[in-house]
Amino acid sequence: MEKEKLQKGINDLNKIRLSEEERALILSKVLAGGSPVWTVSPWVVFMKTHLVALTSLFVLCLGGYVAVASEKALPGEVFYGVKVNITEPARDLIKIMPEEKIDWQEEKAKRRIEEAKLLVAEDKIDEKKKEEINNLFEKHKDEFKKVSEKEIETEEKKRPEKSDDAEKGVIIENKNNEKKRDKLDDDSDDKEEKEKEEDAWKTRKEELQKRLDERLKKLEESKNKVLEKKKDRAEKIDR
Amino acid sequence: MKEIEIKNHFENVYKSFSDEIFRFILLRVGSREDALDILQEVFFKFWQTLGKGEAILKEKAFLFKVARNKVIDWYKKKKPASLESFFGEDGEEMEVVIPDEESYVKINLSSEASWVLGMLSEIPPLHAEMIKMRFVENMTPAEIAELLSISGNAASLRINRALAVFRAKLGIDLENG
Repeated sequence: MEKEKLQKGINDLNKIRLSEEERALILSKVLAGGSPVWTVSPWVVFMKTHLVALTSLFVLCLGGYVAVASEKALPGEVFYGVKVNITEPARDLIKIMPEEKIDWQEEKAKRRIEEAKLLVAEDKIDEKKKEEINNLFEKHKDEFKKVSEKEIETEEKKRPEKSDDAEKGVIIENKNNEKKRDKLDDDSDDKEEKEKEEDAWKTRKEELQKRLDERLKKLEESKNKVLEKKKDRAEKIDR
Repeated sequence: MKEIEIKNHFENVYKSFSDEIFRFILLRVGSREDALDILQEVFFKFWQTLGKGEAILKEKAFLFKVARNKVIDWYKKKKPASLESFFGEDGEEMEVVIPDEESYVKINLSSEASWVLGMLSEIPPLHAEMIKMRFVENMTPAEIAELLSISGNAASLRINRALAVFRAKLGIDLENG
């Protein structure tokens, strides 16, 4: 009885399959990853090499005045929408390296703080503008976290994996089709080395995360300090 | 190989092995969504390797090896406490994932299939892993040896030991029906 149950159980496990939709989806995602001979999207290459031409074209199309004016715009002003919805997102696209992306997200958050400072100085800040600045700030913070996580992941992937050595055991390499088998080295010194490397990576990862968290914390504190100022001033007037 | 030939070859291999690789991954990570992500990574690696012009002698072995390593990496990131290193009786080290039973609830298995996995969780993870590979994934001892980068003799030794433990613990002889 139990043997039959066991056999049925094993047969049922053997029947686990992808659905047709899942099969097609995974295939399309893998192939959409690009031709295997490319490592960088050609669109990104085009953008980078034609950046000057594209920017000039953008300026021509929108009119030089609009583009320049939008950069100075504050919440509530006509061209502020162009600034946060067009020119800044356009600059999102041309940042390629994770470090560039992180710096740019930080820069955008700082811009929001600067805008808040100016509004407070001119006594133009109200709840609506505060909310707008806060919402945008939160968005930049989220993006900052996302790209930070991506950078840590990238750093982790750069580490030599055990998998690379093991997989060489089943790949024929070099043009002459000579079999090349790499045996896993099970020497105890190697194990110690690997443990040291693992510890070093953990420390590095923690430091990286700590630095990124500190940057984010500083931004948050600056923003709160600026937006609190109006409140403080109002309280002083009321007393 | 021209690009179109690579693509056709890739699609044929994908069609042949995607179910097996998916099953292998799913029974170790316990989440269909995560298993699909890992499956995509496995085949993307295969796709990239083909693109580099490297000839792969044993494609099935390559795919299983990549899948196994991706599962281990997944555990290192998400559930490091459920990843253990074991030393087989042959002295070779092997990393074994220890899926928790709750994960299997999410995969929607038949009661018999769940029962089998439950039984396997009652024997040491190293032996459970050998039985899964031999009887669920239907790998030959030679294929298991290739996957774990151990000798054929070591693989046979581990399988026999796993069967003996399973028999002693649960009173069922897997090999003789």
